[in-house]
Formats: sequence, C-alpha cells, structure tokens
Amino acid sequence: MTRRVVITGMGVTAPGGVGIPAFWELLTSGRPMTRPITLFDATGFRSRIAAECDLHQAAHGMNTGWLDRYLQFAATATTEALHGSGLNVVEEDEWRVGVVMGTALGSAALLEQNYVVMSDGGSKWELDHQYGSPHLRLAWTPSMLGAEIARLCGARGPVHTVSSGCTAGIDAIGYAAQLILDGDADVVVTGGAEAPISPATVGRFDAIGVTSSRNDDPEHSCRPFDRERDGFVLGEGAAVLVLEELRHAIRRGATVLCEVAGYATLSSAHHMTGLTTDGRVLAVAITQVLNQARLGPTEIDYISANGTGTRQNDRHETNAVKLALGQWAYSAPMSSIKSMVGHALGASGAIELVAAALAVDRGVVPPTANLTVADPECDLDYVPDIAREHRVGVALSLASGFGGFQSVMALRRPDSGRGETSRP
Amino acid sequence: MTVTAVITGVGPIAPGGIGATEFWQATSAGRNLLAPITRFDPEGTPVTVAGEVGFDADELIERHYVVQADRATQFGLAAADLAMADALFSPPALNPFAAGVITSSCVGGAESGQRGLGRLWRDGPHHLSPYQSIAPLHAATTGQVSVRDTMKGPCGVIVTDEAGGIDALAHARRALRRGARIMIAGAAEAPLCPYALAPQYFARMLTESADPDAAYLPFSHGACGYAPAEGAAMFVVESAADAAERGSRPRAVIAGHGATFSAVAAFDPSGEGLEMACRKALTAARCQPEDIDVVFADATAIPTADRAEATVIKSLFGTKVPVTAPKAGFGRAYASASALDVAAAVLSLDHGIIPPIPALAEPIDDLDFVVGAPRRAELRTALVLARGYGGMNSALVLHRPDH
Amino acid sequence: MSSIPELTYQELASIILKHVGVTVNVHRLSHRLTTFADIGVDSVGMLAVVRELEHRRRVDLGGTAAQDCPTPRQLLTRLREAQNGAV
Repeated sequence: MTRRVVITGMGVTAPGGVGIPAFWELLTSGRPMTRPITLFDATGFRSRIAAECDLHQAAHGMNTGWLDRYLQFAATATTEALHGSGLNVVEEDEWRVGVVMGTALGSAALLEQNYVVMSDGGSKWELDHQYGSPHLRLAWTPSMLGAEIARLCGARGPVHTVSSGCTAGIDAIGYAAQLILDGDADVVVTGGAEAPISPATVGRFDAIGVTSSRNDDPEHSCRPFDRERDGFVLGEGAAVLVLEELRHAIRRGATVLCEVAGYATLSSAHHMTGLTTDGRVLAVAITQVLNQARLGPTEIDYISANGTGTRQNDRHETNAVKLALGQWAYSAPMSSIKSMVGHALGASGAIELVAAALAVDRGVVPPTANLTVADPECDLDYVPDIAREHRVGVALSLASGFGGFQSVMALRRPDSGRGETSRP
Repeated sequence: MTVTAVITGVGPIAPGGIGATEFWQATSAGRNLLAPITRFDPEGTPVTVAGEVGFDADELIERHYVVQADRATQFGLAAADLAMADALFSPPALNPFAAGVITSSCVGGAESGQRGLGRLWRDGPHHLSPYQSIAPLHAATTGQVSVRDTMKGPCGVIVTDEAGGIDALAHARRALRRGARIMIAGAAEAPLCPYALAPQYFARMLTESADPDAAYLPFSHGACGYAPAEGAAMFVVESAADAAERGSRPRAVIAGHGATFSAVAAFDPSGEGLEMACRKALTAARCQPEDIDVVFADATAIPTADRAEATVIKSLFGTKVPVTAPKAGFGRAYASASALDVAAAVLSLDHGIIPPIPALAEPIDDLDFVVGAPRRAELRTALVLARGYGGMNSALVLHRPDH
Repeated sequence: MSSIPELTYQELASIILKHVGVTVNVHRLSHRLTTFADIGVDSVGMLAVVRELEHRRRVDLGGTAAQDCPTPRQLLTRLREAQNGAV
C-alpha cells in the first residue's frame, strides 16, 4: 500500500514567538522583531541588526542550560512538538523512529568563542586547546543537532543532520518524509535550528553585502519585495515537526494537522551566491512538487516565500512563481515572514513550513511586514502588512540558498478530499 | 519503485593515492602511510601522526578553486572528476535536471573557517574575503560540484560523522528511485588543521602515539585511538539500466542500507545499534549473514568500541567471515572514512582480493582478520560498517554486479 | 601628504590572481573594452578585488563600486578619483 506522510505535532522557537501560540500571535500581528544586535558588540560591522530569541523564555522549565544555544532552541521546539503530537516514543518501536534535523552552521558561534581564546585573539594559527572548553567535541560538527534531538526523544532509527545551508530546514523535512515513504521509519522528528548571530557570521555576510545596513531603523530593515529593500536580516531559532506515516497516525488516534504532499530540491548550478533573474530552476522545482502532489497551479492557495529581502532573491522568486503557476501567480497570496522574524538560515525552512502549516490549519495567511511600496518587478499579491483570512487547502513553502539549492514543499489540508499518491 | 542502483565510477583521494588505481595499489599492498603531521606545526598538541594527502591542486582542479574553496571542497571537486572519468561520464548530462550531487562531511570547510576567523579577529571585519560567505560551509562541496558540472537535479548535504559516506550513497539511491538518472555522491574531508583538531583533544579518542607504526592499531591489544586523516571518495551512482545503456560497466550494486542510532554517545559499548544497522542492511539486501564474504570494519581502535564491533561481527557472522580495515594504513578520515571504505570494498569485489589491515600483532578476538598481505577470495557480497561519534551507525551491503 | 602611486594594471592582475584565483594577461586587462566578467571575475570576485584595493590604498571606493565598475578601466578611474578626493 502507498505510504503517506502527515504532520501530527509542531513546535517553534522564534524571535518574539516561543511556542506555537506566541509565534502565531506574532505573525498575525505583523510585528517585526528586528532590532539592534545585543548578542555581541557589533560596532564596526556594516550590518548591526538581527532578530534575536529570548533564550530565558525559550528554555523555560527545561534543564537545557548546558546545551549550546541552537540546541536549546531545538530542544524547546522538540518538546512542544512531541507534546502536541501525543507521541510517546517509549510505546513505539524505537528502531522505527528517526530524526532528521537541518542546520547551516551548527555550533559555529560557540566554536568561534573558543577559537578566540585558543588563538589568543586570532594571533596564532596553532591553537592552544587547553584554553578551550572540554566539551568542544560536542560542538565540533552539526551532526550533534540530530544526535541531541534523538537522545531527547528516544529515537533509535535513522538519525541524520542535513547541512545544505539556507535550505537545510526544509531539506531535512523533505528527507524525513522520504524516509517514511521508503519504509525506513514510521515516525521522524524533524526540523531545523540555528543560532548564527556572531561576529564571524555577520562579518561574512557583510563581505558580500547581502544583509541590510538600515541600522538607524532596525524594525523596518527587512523589507521583502519592497522597492527600498537592501538585504536580509539575520534571525535565529528552531522549528520541529513530528512526521508520521498516515496509518500510523490514525492507529494511535493522533490529530493530523497537514499532509506533506510533495517535496523537491534542485540546484540552480549557476553560481555559488548569485541567482538567475528568471528563477527557472526554482520554477522547475515547484512544477515537480505539483506533479508529485497531483495538483494544478490553481489549487495553490498560499505560498510561504523565501522572501529574504535581497535585491536578487525577491525578483528571482517572483519570476519563478510566475513561470510555474502562470496567471494564477497573481491570485495566490504569497508572503514572507522573514520580514518579522529575520533569516535564521538553516532553521528558516522549518520555521516557515510551520507558518505555512498554521496558515492551512487556521485559514489565515500571515503578512509581509514593511512592504510599503512594492518593487515594480515584484507585482504579485504579497499580503502587505496585515494578515488575511483566507482558506488554504494547499500551501507551498519555498527556499533558496547559497550553493544554488532551490527547495520546495507542498502541504495539504487533511480534509481536502484528495487521496492520491504523494511521493516527496 | 525498485531501481537497481549501481556504482559505475569510483573516485578516491586518499593518503595512499589519487584515483582508483593508485588507491588500490596502496590499499591492497597494506602499506602504512601514516606519518608525522606537516600541514601545521603540531608541537605542543597531543596528536602528531595523521594521514595526509599529497594533493597537487594545480594538476587536478582549476586554479580559482584554490583561492575560492576549502581544501575539502577541492578534494571533492577532484574526486568527482575522477569518479566521472571512471564511469565514462562527461558532464553536463543530457538532462541536467536528472543529474544531482549529494555529499557528506564532518567539519565542512574548517580550514577556510579558521583562516576567516583569524582575519576577522586579528584585523577586523573589513578584512574578511567575500569567499568566506561560502567556503567554510558544509554545503560548499555539493554546491561547487553542481555549479561546475551543471548538475541541476536533486542535491543534498548530510552530516552523520563517520557514517556520512555511506549515508550519502543511500540518499543518492533515494534520488534515483524518484527519477534522477545519474548521481554524484560521496564524502570530502580536510580536517588536518588546528581549528578542526583542537576541539577533539579533550575527548581522547585520537591516537597520541608519535610512532606511525604504533599509532593506529584497531582490534589490537595495543589499540590507543585512531589517527585522523584527510581525503575524499566520490562515486557515480545510476540505475543498472542506465549504466547498460551508456555502456558503462557497473562496479558494484548498492544492495542494502541500514542506519540506526545509539543513544549512548561515542561508540556504544553494547554494539546494539550497530548490530541493528547490520540486520536492517541485510534485510534490505535480502541477504543472509552467511552471504557476506567480507566485512570492512569501522575499526576505531578505541578499545571499548573495537570490542563492541568485534562482538557484533561475531554474533552475526561467526568467526569464518574475513574482516579487514584498510584505513588502519592511512587513518580515519571522518565522513570520508566510510566513503573510502566503500571505494576499497568496490575495488575489492572487482579484483577478488581483500586488502589487509597492515599490522595486527595481538588481536583482541579470534575473528578472521586479514592482516599484512592481501588475500585472494571469491567475493560476491561485502558489508561496510561505520559509526559516528554522535551515535550514528550505518551498514551498507554491496554486491558484485554479476551476483 | 605624500602622493599615492597610481595602481598599474600589473598590480591589478596580481590582486586578481591572489584574491580571486584567476590568471589574467596584463594586455587584456588594460584593453578599454575588457570587462571583469570577460576575464572570469564575477560579482563576488569583484567584491574581493575592491576590498583588497581599499586596504592597499586606504581609500573608500563606495559601497557600490563592484557593481558600478564592470571594466578594469572604470575601476582604476574610480580609484584615482577616490584618491584625489582623499588627498
């Protein structure tokens, strides 16, 4: 029998929105959380803005203090997702429960802090490890994200970390869906986590001028699709979903929030950081996902955009959607929540997928904040500033990243009456 | 959907040699290629012996990658070239959307990362090269290969520590099942820099022996941790039908994969997770334990982990199956460790020869270890094992194509 | 204040080799119709070149120099103007 993949639990840790209720409240209010950076002294950097999470609030009630920052975000989101799904791994065949998590940088910020001490302020190539934390081995590779989440939820099936840069979150979830479809697992806890706000990350993005330097007006700095946009704004956080095989979910009486109806990741094979204007590869990815889900363009009710707010991305994405959906592109609302919570790199794809699932579940689409005057080249319905009631039977979530990665996922309402095969 | 995924091209870059021929010569001879670290000055650090690759970038890749990409990505680009040449495939593919890239690494572009951190903290943010925005990322190798070779199909980046090389191949097979026609998959790793090694010293898993002949002795009573290594192995993976159509000779069939997690970190002494990974791989390959003709062991040379692995092998296969660990001769290259083991296994099936563990004077178990000299054998099916520090276990069953 | 020596195409070629990894013939570089794209220096490579020029000459070429100067000749003109402004 054909296997199908559904979402039965979700958790999120985002700037201004720890937990699903607060996160949804934030998104529907259209309030940007971009502020001056406080996590380090950003004097001397070109871009000094970010959307930061309240870690104290995030770790509330949990003993996660020994974990690195991004792992704390992930642990908090995982606990919420497991609770929401009602899944108790102890009652499951633990070898059939997997974990796939995405992150672009892993513990890079913690490694950087240790590097500074071990290198005596960057002055030495040979490092004195005696000055490093004895726990650094746990920060050494991003795989620790998957491992920690697996330990937290008791999974013993495939436990993998995906590190495809800015699409890592959505790619992890796509990978998780494939594990279930291929019969390698019945349940996969999946998502993305990132805590990138450190001197090295800010400096690296400064060096290619992709982040906003609207330092005098941080709340209005991230302006996807706006004529005055000047780059993305870093964010941080995590989102975690419980994916299950449909019959497994039904058998244990779980509430099905959404079906994962299709997934594709392609490479634009064009340039490591640049995008083509025409958006052709992203358009092909959208079309592949529609074909997997047996959907026509006019069945797309909402698009959660990558919408970084860089000059290139927003035109690239607009053109991709037009290429893939034709005239319907003008009818499907498309918004970017990065305008509010910033760009959390490898967590963004997961955070935005949760937002898309909530749009499906609640019949409301979140807005694009700070969209005052649209770029003439960006002429779609971006839901400026104010959330909108809108029935969403099918939502698409889009992501693009450095290295050329273009990823797309489709979510479908469980009661939308479509039972065809899905093969993400 | 059932697609028989076959490996048609092998591209290893290892301390023993560049390309399948050199690599096989060094590996099958059982030479010990470990040596004192020269890539940086290890004085004052506990680990001084490693497996370094003699890599002539100017000969193997275009010049601009030397400036723009990390050493790991340079290995990956060169290894992908070698694998494609081996498979008689020259990109771009007829349909670029059906050609994809999946790679794995443990530390990504660590050496580039360290260089960037040095510039930032010593000289200030304005001194960071724009290439720092991509070179240190784990995603860089997949990205660079896909851009260079116009591969627009499914792409991915997997981090499962030492199991990564195997998991990348399994993921490539998933892509073939979903319509991709040709995949470049494997691992690339260049961890011999202070920034990648220093975080590991406290964990005391790396060998602290300064004698290359005694530094890395898996399954021995003298085992004292593993010697780190750098390197890469990339593969061309496609369906048997496509390989036949292209006239490319399948070198091995990817028959079964199993992946599990040991909740106990750093190589679970019980071996329970590793055993389950083996069972899953055997089931997926529709194999019985007695079908396995050779085991390429994970071989950490950490005494509890060696003991666990030996116990798993013995309980599943008894003492009759030959067990080898060619990496004992050139070091453990993290994600590339399992990829290089797959390369060795594929070449082993191809030649009917088991490459040896260079030296094993006092084995901890009475398993049939292949030691010192290559062994000729009728090989139809090989099993490759890998464990990651974080608790990931993977097993891969490979068949000789005519099997 | 001492005058800053004018950057030669030779030096520009060496900057491109060291910081972008592209070898370029000086005659080609100095031809008025040659663009950076022609010689394999893309948008990111341009940022690397501009950054290095700014360090060497201690000038600010402006945030958009990499986009504004598609040819070596234009970039050297921009540099001369910035240096004159700084003197």
